[in-house]
Amino acid sequence: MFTALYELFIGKNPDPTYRNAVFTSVGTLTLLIMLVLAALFYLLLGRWRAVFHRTSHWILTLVIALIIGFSLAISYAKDATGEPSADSYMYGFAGVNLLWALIVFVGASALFRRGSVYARHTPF
Amino acid sequence: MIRTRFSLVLLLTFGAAWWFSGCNLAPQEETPTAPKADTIRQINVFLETSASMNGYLRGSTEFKDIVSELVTKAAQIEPVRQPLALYTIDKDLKPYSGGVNAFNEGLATTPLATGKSSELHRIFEQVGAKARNGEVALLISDCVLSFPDAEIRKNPEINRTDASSVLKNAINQQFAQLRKDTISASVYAFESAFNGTYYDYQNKKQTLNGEKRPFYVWAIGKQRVLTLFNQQLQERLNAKPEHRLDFGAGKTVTDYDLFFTLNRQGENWEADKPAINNLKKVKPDAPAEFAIGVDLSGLPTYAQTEDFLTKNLVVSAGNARVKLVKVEERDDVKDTERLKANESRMLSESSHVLTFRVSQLFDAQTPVTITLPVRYDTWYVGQSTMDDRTPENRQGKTFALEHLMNGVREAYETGAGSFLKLSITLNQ
Repeated sequence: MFTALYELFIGKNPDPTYRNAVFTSVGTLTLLIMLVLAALFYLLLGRWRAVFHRTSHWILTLVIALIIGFSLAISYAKDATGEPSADSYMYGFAGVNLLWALIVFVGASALFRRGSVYARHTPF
Repeated sequence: MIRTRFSLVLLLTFGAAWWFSGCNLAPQEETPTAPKADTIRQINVFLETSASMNGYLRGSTEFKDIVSELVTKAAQIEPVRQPLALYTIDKDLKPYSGGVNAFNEGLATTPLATGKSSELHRIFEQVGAKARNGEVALLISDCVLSFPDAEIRKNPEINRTDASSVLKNAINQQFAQLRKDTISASVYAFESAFNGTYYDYQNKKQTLNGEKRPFYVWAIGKQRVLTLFNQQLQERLNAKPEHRLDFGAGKTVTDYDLFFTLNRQGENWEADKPAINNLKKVKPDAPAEFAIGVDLSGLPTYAQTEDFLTKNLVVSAGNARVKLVKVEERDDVKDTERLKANESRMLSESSHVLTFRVSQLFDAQTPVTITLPVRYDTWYVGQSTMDDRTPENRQGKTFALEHLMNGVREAYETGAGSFLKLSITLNQ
């Protein structure tokens, strides 16, 4: 599934490492991290005290999520392929993963906000 | 308060990003430990000194020149941990004290070949014991297969009638044990004038004056150190052998790396070891070419040559047309600076790169097998005689050499029938 998602946007890389060791791991890891971040925002901080529940806080968390999604993809691909520096394919891959992180975080926000006390209407 | 919290969050964000970029996130392949540099523990030289060797040592003979050079050059091979050890061997093994110079002088001045008749398989047993644990044993001998004198006195024909069974099997047994211990052997054939008493297969004495007689140098040791030894010896030695044969004890090579850009032809296919996928568009006028890397450093030296590989690699591809197009040694591969890190690693772990062309593919899935059958040269058959009583019959020949070599060959041919056997699947 993840291989198809990434290759749809950035095409195939001749190095099979991407298909065998990078795409699925990064896609899954990104999904989990986004779920954890959304759960932290809505279910932990959003139920604890009214200190981190506004839209500005949500945007800040989203930015954190996107930075993580981007850098996770770059570092994972660099480690797996052994390349000393990121190439254009890796940046493309990181961009798609950023998009993936955005979708998951927004989706998880819509899902988890109902369980929050202070952030029930953030940001929607 | 809010500004402090914001700074804290920002700090955490960049901390996380920095952590991701610094961490090794991808599951790491088990880092292979650096291969131990090939170092020979010790080189042991054995000169057979049974009476039949005496003729090589009298007068002006090539034997003395070659052996002297061989021992001198063998002592210069490196890296070797301990200094070269010299022995004479007939029935028993005797260390030769005094070093290389004294040995070379002794060849010319001291009657060395004064021992009793020796049985080759017993010699190989003692020599083989000094070819373990990273040591290399070098045996210089006329390699005449013979029963003990007492047996020949009882039955003068025994050497002729039983060499192919009893003596060959005794040799086979010795080398089978060496092979079991993953010890390989190389044999170099030289020729020299012979001045002295020659013992024919009935043990009758004949006096030869300068007749050319073959003699042999066996190098025995673990494949890696033996390869190092053979390479260095050949580079240093001015005296070139008439023939050479290697008996390898290495395992069949079954592992390979599939390159994804090196020597690549064709756009769409994907390398996914052990398969190549998406070969749908392959046609005779639009073939796909792929390269694999193999480590053949454990094979006998002759089996590593481009010529041998090109002639003997067999590609079985069922209903597809797959052909070997190029064999390259690692150092001959061009444009390596363009390779990605993964491919550079694969190349560094390979000794050879084999490039194949797929020009027709009919089935959805085609298994391809690439094999390199074990092949031994058979020059020794023409250098063997079973009747050495007349000069015509023994000129340039060794009594029962064929049976000696067959005994060794059969020991090494047991089991692995191929030097290399690779499997790869082509998917449309």
